[in-house]
Amino acid sequence: MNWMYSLPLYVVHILIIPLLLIGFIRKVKARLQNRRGPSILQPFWDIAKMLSKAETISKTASGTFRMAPMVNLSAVFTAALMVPWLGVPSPIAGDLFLVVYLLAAGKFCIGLAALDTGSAFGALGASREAAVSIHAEPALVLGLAALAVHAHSSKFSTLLAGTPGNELTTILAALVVVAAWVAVIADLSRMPVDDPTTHLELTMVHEALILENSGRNLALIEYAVALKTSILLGLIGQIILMGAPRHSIGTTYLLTLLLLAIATVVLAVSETVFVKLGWKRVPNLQSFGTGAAILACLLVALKG
Amino acid sequence: MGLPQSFEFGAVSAALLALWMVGITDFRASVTLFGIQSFVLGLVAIAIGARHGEPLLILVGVAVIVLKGLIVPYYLIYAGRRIGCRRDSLMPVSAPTQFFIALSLLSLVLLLRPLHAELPTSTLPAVGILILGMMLMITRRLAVSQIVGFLVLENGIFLYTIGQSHSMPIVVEIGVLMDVLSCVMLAGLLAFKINKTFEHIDVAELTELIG
Amino acid sequence: MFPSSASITIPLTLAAFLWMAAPLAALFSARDTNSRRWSVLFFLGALCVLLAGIDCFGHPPVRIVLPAPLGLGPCRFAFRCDPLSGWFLGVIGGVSAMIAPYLRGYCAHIRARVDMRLFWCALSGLAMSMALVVLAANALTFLVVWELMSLTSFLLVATDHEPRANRRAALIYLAATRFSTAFLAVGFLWTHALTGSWEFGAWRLAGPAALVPGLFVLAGLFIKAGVFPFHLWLPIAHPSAPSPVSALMSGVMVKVAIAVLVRLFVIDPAFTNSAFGILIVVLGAISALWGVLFALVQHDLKRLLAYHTVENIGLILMGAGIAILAGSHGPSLVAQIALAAALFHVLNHALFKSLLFLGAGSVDVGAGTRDLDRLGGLAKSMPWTFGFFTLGAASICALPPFNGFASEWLLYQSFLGSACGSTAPIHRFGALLLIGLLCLVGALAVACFTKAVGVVFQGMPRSVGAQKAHEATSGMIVSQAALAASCVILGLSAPAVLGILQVITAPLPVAGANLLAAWNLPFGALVTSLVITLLAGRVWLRHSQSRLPEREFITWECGFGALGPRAQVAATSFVQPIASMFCVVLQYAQSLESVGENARLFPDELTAHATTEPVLETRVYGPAARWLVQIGDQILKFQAGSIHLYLLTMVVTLLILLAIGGSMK
Repeated sequence: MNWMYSLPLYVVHILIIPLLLIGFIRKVKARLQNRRGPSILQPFWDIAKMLSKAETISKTASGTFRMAPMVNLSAVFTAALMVPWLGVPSPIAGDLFLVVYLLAAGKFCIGLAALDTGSAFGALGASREAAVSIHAEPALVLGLAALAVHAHSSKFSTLLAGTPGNELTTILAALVVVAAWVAVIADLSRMPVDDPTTHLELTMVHEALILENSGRNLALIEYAVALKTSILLGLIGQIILMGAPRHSIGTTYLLTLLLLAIATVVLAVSETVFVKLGWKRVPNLQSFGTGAAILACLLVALKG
Repeated sequence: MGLPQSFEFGAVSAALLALWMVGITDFRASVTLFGIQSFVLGLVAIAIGARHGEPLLILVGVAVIVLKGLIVPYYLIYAGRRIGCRRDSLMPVSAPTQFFIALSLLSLVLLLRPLHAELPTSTLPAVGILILGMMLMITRRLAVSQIVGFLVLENGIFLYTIGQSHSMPIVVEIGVLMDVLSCVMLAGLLAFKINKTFEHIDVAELTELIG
Repeated sequence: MFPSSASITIPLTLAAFLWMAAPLAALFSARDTNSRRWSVLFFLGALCVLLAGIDCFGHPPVRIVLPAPLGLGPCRFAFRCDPLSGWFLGVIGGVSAMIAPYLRGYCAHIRARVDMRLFWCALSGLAMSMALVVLAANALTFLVVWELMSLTSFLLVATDHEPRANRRAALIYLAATRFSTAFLAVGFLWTHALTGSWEFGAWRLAGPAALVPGLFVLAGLFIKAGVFPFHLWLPIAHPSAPSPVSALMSGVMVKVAIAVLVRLFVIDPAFTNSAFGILIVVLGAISALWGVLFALVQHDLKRLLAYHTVENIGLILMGAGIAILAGSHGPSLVAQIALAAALFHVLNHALFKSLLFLGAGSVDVGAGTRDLDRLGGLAKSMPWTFGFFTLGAASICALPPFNGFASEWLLYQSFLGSACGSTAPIHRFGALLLIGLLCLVGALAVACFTKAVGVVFQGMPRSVGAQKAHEATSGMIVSQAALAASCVILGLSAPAVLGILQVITAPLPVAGANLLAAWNLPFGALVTSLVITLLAGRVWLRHSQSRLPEREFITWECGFGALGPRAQVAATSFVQPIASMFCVVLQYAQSLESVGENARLFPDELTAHATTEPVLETRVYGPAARWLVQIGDQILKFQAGSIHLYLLTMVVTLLILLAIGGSMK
């Protein structure tokens, strides 16, 4: 598919889907907790409200604090154009390592911004986020690298094509989905690694990182997180579809949207059912993700 | 010497369950996983027996499911509740490190295949479960966790025998099962006794028994 | 043998004159000599070397032999200019040229307590001997210039020899160079005994015969390159040297050892044995992880950077090792990509490591300290240094679109290709694990540099020195700007660099495919997208800032009242989660003491202590050094001062020699 067609398609979906996804998660969570919950469109109104407010910036902060959210959003936006997370070929033919390191670049900027205000909570969040990515990044990269060796290329378009109907592909995809799911949960700071609705600073991972942000910059950061959620969940959906027989592009697109909806329901259920892990036990959970990725590599090494 | 399709699937899932157990510190969770593992192995035994028309093997499979899949886990959880142990957090190396060590041991066994090419492929999951059971026994400090490790070891031996020659005298296997059951009962009673005498079942602290 | 080309020899001779005239003149000048003169000479000499390096690519390899009176006994001084040496000459010349403007400003700072004559002499000597080592064509020439390099770098490390720590560091470094030369000499002598020639080009050992001499040579090179487990001297010596010297040593000198390694083991190898490939890859992988783990827990800025050098040398070695392994089974594109990745990383690391060390030097001069726990808030008082240091940090963390990413991506592709290309499960699994290790090392590096940049430049100043910090002089800023610009340019023009590397890696057996075709990243689209989104964002933020101006207030302090600088993150506390994950390797231990009447709930005083132990130093090298000293003490007993004992020793030795001589007939 020509980039002239996929680019507008992707841009439109980038503007609509992330916030819709977040609203959907909150709605399902509310229903499970016997509440009515906010409307699905609430995140849109929240972002609009934040964009219309002035910022309060600490006196200690320098230019980094003011510029980092924009750089982060730019990196995540570019990554969104490189990963075929909608089931449709992406406008830019993305490479596995390029996307992972782009997302890491965004994390680097936000980490610096958190340290910029001299806030102890920001530093706590930054150090925890860095510790979480020690397991999450290798797990994701190892899982996708196993797929890359299976497909002999590290480009997303070839990686996710797979050989349908092959039993090895199905098992490999299953292991990589487990690894990617654990890595993604940790990276996005969702339960059971971190509670997005907590108010206790000492238990926060991501919220502490963005504690000092307000107004416009906070809107940019929240939107970037929502976009990252959609990209990573869409990627997991594509890996699931790898094991299924090939369809036309339209059917893959609809199946991806369906899988995104299912993933949000699963996320909401796990956020309601699971208790947040104590911070010292988070590596225990993450090691399962890395272990699954290593098993996938073992499988590819043995069976080709 | 044909093994049914489900053998590979069952054996590998049992090995993966054992691997999962190495990474968990919660006692109840590891016992539940052991129960599921025994259940799977019992099903595998039934499948092999059905394929080759060996009624003894089917009987042993049912016995494994009932005894090691239901009764033993229930007893162990009951014992654990009586003693009051929830989580084995006193291990010499942390759970993730143990998990990765176990994973590397398994990978070595699989990758160094040319070195032990005389072993048939069907026994590899059993060897894996054996190694993992031994690892569980070595690295846990609570006595009840070591009992679970021993049980996993026995599961590995069971898988090895049914995978190798399904026409082997099955009476031996029944005998081993009985041994295991009595061992578990005794071990549970001992654990109660140790707890009552020493107020804990931390094996590393039991060095007072040195003469 | 080869035609001598005038276009190389003229710039080289000019550079030699400029760089060798300078030291002699410096020794005769006044004590507080004028640094501008010497730094201009240094700059011109570096430019000449850079030109010579570029010129090496234009034509077939050239051999320069010095005329008859200058000789080394069995062989003459011989130098060989081929594309590989051209690449490293370019690295040496380019980086030295960019460091030259920095020297003047920095030397003004240390001039008060240091004799600058020896500094300039040794600096020029070091640069010239590095260039000659890369060019050396036979073993004896190599050993002579290698020794010159070790001696001049020792003098440079000992520049500021007032503090005891610097003297100790210089002596440790000297000891390391002695071991390195010893191993190399044994290796070369052994090879000469096997092949009968001193020329590098004539050595072609393979199989088991190559094993022992190759191991000795490899050991000598590993010591100089700072590879685990011989890397101990690096974090001790590099921080003690003046910052531009650290930049030169870390950025260029360790690469010279890599140049020799590539020449002897990878391209037209003198020693061919797949065991070397495996050894290099394994030690490279361990160095990478070890280096970055120990870098995480440092609180001296320059020691942190020195440990990162160990990590990056590990990465370069991984590429070189994969090149050896992939090439041993016949023609292979993977070998070419791996070697290209290693050589590209050599250049990139030279650039961004020099940039980071120069930045650390600016911080040292501006704020008066290198200790992370005494810095902070320098982004406002030193904006240029902050900007360039952050750019260097982004490059070393391999963040796109800078140059670090380009070489690490090539490294990933070589691992991937190696996994796809081989059929043995253990090789495939090993290559996949290397991919995971590289990603882990990258994540750790990002954490480490978030801490370094954040603690040094962001937040509030933690000491009076940091409060009164001033920006570096314009010369120092120009250097850093040049290095930062080259990082960005190289990152964006990676295909052009690959074209150059294609020429260098041509001698490797290749399956006919093109190196450039392996670079299939959509960099154009990437940069366009990033630039457009950033510009759009900037415009929109400007506009909305004018509509809704921001409000300034204090940092959120939970209602305790404004928190001081002590409440900020410290260097050790930032890495506490990661250090406790790796507590086995780092021997990380924490303790918390609370003192007071109601110590548990309302303590009067809280002391938190975090310690790490460098295991290699305390458990391996420490005992070994003490054991050596003990043996020395025992041998000292022979120096009893008694003439009778000395005569007895002489007679016994004579008798033994007679016996040996008699039995050899």
